[in-house]
Amino acid sequence: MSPVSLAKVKAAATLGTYDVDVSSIPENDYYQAIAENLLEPIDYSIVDKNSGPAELFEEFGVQSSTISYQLVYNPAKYPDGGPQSWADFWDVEKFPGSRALWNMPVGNIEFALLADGVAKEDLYPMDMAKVERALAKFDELKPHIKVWWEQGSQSQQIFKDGEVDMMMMWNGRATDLKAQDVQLTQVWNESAIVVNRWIVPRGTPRKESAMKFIQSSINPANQAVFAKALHYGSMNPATLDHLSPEQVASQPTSPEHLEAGFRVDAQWWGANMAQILPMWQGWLLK
Amino acid sequence: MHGAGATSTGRRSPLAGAGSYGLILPALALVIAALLVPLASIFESSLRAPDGSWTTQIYQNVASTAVYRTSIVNTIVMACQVSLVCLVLGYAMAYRMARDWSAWAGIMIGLLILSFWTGLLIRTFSWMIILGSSGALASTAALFGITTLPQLLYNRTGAIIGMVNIMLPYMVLTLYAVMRRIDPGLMNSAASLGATPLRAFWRVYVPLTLPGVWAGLLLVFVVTIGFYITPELLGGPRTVMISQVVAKVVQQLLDFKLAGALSVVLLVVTIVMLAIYNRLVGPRGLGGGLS
Repeated sequence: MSPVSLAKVKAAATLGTYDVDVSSIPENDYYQAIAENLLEPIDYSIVDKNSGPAELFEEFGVQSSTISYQLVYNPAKYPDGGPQSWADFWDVEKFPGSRALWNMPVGNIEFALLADGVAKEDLYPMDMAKVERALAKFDELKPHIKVWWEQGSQSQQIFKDGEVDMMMMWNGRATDLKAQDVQLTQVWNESAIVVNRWIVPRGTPRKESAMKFIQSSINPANQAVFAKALHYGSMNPATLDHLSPEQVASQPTSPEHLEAGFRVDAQWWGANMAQILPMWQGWLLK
Repeated sequence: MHGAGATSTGRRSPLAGAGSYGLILPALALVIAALLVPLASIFESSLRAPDGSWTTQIYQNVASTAVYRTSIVNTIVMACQVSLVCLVLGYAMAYRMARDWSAWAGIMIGLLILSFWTGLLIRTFSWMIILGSSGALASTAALFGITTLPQLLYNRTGAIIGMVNIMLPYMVLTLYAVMRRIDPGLMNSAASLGATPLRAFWRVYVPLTLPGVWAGLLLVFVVTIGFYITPELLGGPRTVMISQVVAKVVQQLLDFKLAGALSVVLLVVTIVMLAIYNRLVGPRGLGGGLS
């Protein structure tokens, strides 16, 4: 989903060579970029704050598309009903089969805590004790994770090939597979919702055009075009008015999907990634 | 592999002498500007604290974090494994091609070159389709009643198969260049003096191919150390190689200094290994058959 890596934004802002003037980045990256002073403040004389709910408009970014990290399974493998929660995902007795997860601590730590009985409301504030608890919960599941996937296209390939029976997938990739007639059931319950931000790398000479682009893209009708194509809907509820009921049903931002999932505390992840990533990689190598 | 010297009739090139050094200047300038200068800058920045003072903090961090140590060891072990598998497969193939140039040899080298020219990403994804649990190999095996294959993907086996596939042409072509110039009469002479074919092969043929073996092993090892996408897609969490860790550190942590330090450590380890290799094999062994 992230078309531009944060590394590119950093290279642009620090070297002054801008191959990217505007981008949409995941929110944990967004908070890291703010901490590193890589972003241009949004120019609210160009971007109209009244085009959506006030909380979408932040100092260095505008909330744009959303993505749901969700559980999906092959319904053919579970004719009597598949897993409905992360506790089910961990339950290898009741739901035997091979599994796959994204090789990334964000989301996975939360899923392990949910499987371990933590309530959605109690996930945050996150702390190191909770991360340790999550990794301990992962110890029991590790032998059943056949693939720790790295790339979105890879996550689709392994599901399509029947390599795994259930896995975490980004919702747009899952809807895309269903459109290709792949047997797949999406579970919106306990999905992790991550909100992307439109950002402008600090110092770009084409700042004004970038701001104008953001202004045109946050128009609900334009957001709806994006949502129809990629199913990563906007946090602006007005977008839903431009979608059919079937199209709304594939968005992470439909009212019931927002209710069923939880918002990731990306600010915490942005601040703690440097400490957690080596822990996560070290755990995987064990 | 023919240098300028090979085009002249004698051992001395007409361009030999002090003036000929001018010929290496353009390439040398490129190496300095595009390799040595950035490398020096990476090394320097990895030794600087945020306030600009000198520090070895990052290197202490690398030494004390398990994942960095393990992935460097992993990288070297896997590069050795890939080199050895390539040698075994490549030696047989190059031998067959050099012994007698039949239509088969032509087809073999054609396939090899075709594979060489095909994109790395395509070949890596192809292995996912071939080796997957319901992939081409599994369904072919099922025709013969074999239904329980070991897991071939997302572990060391998968990563090594993928990397061997990509590196094999380097090994075969290097060996072939050496084998092609071995006089077949030497084997006949050995036979006429009473050597069995196996003995003639081991005592006469193999020693003559050693320069190609050493050069091929070195080439495959050095390139394999830098593999990224193939082990990323075909390997598992326990086969993480250093480039994968460097990519994560850059992409997820934006920590260019740590990434630079990891690269420096890998470079130093590689240079030390090459120095040992050079000591054991010797520069004559490496260049002998090629120059």
